[in-house]
Amino acid sequence: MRKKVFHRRKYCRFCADSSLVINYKNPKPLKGFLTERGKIIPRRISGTCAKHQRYLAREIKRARTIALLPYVGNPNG
Amino acid sequence: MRHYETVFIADPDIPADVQTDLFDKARTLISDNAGELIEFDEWGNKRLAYEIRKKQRGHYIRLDYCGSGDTVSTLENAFRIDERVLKFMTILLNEDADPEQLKAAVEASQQASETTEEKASDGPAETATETVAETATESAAEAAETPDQAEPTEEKADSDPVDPAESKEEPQA
Repeated sequence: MRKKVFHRRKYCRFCADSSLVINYKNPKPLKGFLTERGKIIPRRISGTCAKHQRYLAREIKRARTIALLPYVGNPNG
Repeated sequence: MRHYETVFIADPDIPADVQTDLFDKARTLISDNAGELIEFDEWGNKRLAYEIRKKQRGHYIRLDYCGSGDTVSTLENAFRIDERVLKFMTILLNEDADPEQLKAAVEASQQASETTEEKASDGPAETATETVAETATESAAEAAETPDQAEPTEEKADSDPVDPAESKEEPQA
């Protein structure tokens, strides 16, 4: 028999809070959507909606280009 | 005119006079190539997320300007050749923008931030009055803008939330 696993319902944080802006010039909130290695967290895990995941990916890539976010992160930091 | 934004990273280890020379060069390059500078935004020295030319830190500058594709290509060519520039990135913000309108918006937001700073320094009450003043100035800036075109307002909504974010960063620096 499979154990029933209860988990919290995922939701899009940007839809829930419209004051959150996705912008490469402010990389701190974007960091929450990266793994420690610097990869973009897929939306099946973060729960972000398709539209906002698209914006998020675009802004993260811009921030990487101008060295505000790493391409390859350090697992410790 | 097209509205562009170029962020470039200048070498942080160059003397101040060379740095001002570089900034003047960027300014004249824009004005000489049918461009109009709207805002010269200096972010200062920041830590780079990865090393560029063996450097850990960089001096960030954001140029907000209107122009054509030629303006961008000449500016980028100059940056590519210039040893003092570590890296640059240009983003198209709007296909059709009015530089005068954008300049007015920038001035209005600068004045607004000045008044909020004065208020913050005068009164002992801090966060509550600040947020109220900010929202008030934002709505004032929106009201000041003529709503005859749909796109500039859209662009405004895009660029406006940046300012509070930047002002949030300032107290830490």
